[in-house]
Amino acid sequence: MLIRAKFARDYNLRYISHLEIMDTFRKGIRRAGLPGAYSQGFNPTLNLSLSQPLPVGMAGGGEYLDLELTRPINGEGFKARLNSFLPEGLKILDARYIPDQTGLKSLQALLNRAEYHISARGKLKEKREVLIEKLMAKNKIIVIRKRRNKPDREYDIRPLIFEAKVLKDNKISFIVSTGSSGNVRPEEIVKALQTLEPEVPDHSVIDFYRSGLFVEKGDKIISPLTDQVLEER
Amino acid sequence: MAEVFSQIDDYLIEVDSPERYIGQEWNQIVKDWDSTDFKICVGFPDTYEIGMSHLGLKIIYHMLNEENEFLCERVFAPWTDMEDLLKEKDIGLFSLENKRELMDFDLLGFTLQYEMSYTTILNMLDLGKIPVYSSERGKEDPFVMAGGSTVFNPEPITPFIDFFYIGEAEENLLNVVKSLKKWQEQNLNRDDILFKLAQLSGVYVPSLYETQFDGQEFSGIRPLKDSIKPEIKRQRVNNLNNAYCPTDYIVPYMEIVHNRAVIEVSRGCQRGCRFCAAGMTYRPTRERSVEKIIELADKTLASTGYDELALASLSTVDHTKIKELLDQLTERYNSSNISISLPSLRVDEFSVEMAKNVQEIRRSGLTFAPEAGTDKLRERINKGIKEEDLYKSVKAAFSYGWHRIKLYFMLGLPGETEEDLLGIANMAKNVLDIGQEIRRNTDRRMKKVEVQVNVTTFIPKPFTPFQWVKMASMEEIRDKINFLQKNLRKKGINFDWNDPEVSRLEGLVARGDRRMSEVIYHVWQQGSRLEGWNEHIYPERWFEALDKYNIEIESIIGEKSPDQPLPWDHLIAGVNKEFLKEEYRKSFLSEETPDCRWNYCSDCGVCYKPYSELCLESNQVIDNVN
Repeated sequence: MLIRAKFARDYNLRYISHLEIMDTFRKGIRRAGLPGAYSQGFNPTLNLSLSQPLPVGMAGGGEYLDLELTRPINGEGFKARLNSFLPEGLKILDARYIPDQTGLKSLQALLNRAEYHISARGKLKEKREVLIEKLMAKNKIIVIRKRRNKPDREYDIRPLIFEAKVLKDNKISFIVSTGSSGNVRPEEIVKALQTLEPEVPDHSVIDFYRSGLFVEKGDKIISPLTDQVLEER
Repeated sequence: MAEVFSQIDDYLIEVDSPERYIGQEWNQIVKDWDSTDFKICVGFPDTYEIGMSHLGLKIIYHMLNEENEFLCERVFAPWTDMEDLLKEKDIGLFSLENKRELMDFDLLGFTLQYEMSYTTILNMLDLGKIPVYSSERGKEDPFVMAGGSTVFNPEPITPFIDFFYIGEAEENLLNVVKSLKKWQEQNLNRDDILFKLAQLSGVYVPSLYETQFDGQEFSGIRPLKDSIKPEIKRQRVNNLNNAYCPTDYIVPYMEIVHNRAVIEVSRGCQRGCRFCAAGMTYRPTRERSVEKIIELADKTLASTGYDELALASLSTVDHTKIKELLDQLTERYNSSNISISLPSLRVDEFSVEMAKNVQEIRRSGLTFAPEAGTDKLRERINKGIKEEDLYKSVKAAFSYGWHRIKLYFMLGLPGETEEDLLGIANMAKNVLDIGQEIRRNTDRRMKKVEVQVNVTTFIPKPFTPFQWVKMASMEEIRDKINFLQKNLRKKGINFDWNDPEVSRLEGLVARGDRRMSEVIYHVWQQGSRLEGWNEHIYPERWFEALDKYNIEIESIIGEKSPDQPLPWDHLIAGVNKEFLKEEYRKSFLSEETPDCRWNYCSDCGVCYKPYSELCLESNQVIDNVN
């Protein structure tokens, strides 16, 4: 028995780390008296897992959690109950009860696409259409990745960027690969844009927002809460 | 949200642990700024993770917020990176709730827990754009008050604090704050308000008292006006069951030092250890009933979502119904994956048994504090445990599955000899032997036995029978540490000690008179703050300042005669001076004073009947004699 839920973490909680958010959910679930299952062993903890960590400083609008249950509870009930026990800024948006999780992939294994919104400022705002076109026209986008106890590595992120478009209110949206099959960090995209236009502001002064995490199916990206994902074991 | 925060919010990514500064935790109380008449901010002179672990601050925060006419917010000391950011952006230190600069409040209260935090108080005032000296504050500035466990000698920080509240907050703090609000609304001037505050029970307004010196020696303190009370009484709660106790504690996002639900099961301890300030100033022992503790535990766990419950007090296993309490709690929470912890343990088998019953899980280390190395010295300090008691306790602990034992000792106790130091080494070795023997003979898997020996320098504190004792010099303590180091070299024994130089400073502040305020100011001016953190303490600045202001160290922590005036003589902590003198005298004879809860009254002055008649009825109201 499992509850899979979609949640948002607002801007006001962007400085809370992944582990702290996890702990906040655990305490919220306890306060709400929801039937979460505990791990065995010396330190029993709620069996809760979260989707890919949000970097500290970033809000997210389509994050996911899985909670193992000791008895069934419907999704709507879970959402309503837990929401009244979570701090402002953390909100369950949708939840589905999954009676049998046999063969179900974990969120971390399942979610392989992320959409980021970048709030354009300065030169990036002025030339956003052109810059995106230029970026997507490139064959290779090489970034340097630092590795612990190993030499830095060059890495081509171009094949991992699937879509880029300009949204209303000066935001730019990117759909990129996330997770174990390849990961693009939003600040790497800004660095790549800087190579095209040196006056693009530094990533440290740009607001990033992860609007959603998705599962790639054919040429579409879908939510891990859809029947299609849940039935495919 | 206030303007100041929006100017800084985006830059918080650059500081360490930004969660320290954002508030927004579950159960925090944010009231409407503009429609609340009287605004209070409670400050803890250390970082968020230390301050948020402090029970007293939580009680005061919720107690004041219960009142519609007040709002009460929190502020902690910023870490150095945040301090730099505040200065760079010219933003005052702000509260976590409405994000208002400290100068915007009507009242700012500090919790005093540790002598070395006083420079941090000065720094927080300055960062909050409030004049550091009381005398420089005007109509627009908040009143600055302080209270807490080290308030029993407030003299070293008197020039910086407008008034002190002496004793337990639940008793009279609300009345003090309400009175202050009323007088402020009547538009009285600052001096008149301070004069009126000085009339209230438990309030000490230091600017209305004058201290006298005879050369280097403190010779007395007296009120400047006849209408000011010459002595200030500690406020105390008589019945802990009826005392205000919140259950909807704030749940921090970040990992704080004590990150669990805490229920105070009793207050005070009458074992009468002669070195222990808390044991003298929190008398008498007042217990919460089992029913009340369970009620509070239920509510706290439900409202916070914690999965660990700590039973706090000066000596938890001394609660008269401890066994019944633990049985009921374990049965109650067994199925909800809540663990119970006992933060303080006595050195006896019973304590180990109690700890075993609750700590079924997470069993690794257990701490005991024999304090001194021989029975003889322990008799002198009235720590009435025998070496045999320790061995029985650790035997029980090892056989129940603990494998790491921590032992706490003090160095520089009055009358300590080489024999006592050897005693420490022998005890540690014997504990190791006992553990290894049990490990050899057990069938179950047991991790390697470890014995951790920690020593600190004994600091003779105000309101203890040792308040007249000369504090051992750094050289003596260093020699003792070296001696122990040589004698504790053994596999399985770890030896660690606190810096004797820092202890010396603690001693100087703990027993200091008003002259110390210049030293504190000077040290802060040199850039010192956050001195509870090793990386931020510069002892040489303190010694330079003592020199600069021509203060002889011996005039503060040298030997005193029991007949000479002490800088804290104008405070009444409960135990009377005659009792302390008698205890001091008995210490030379190694004469025991047993806990009056189980024996005859020791006539300490706290209650007017022999206490043993009262204590056994656990909800008994004790009348204040003072």
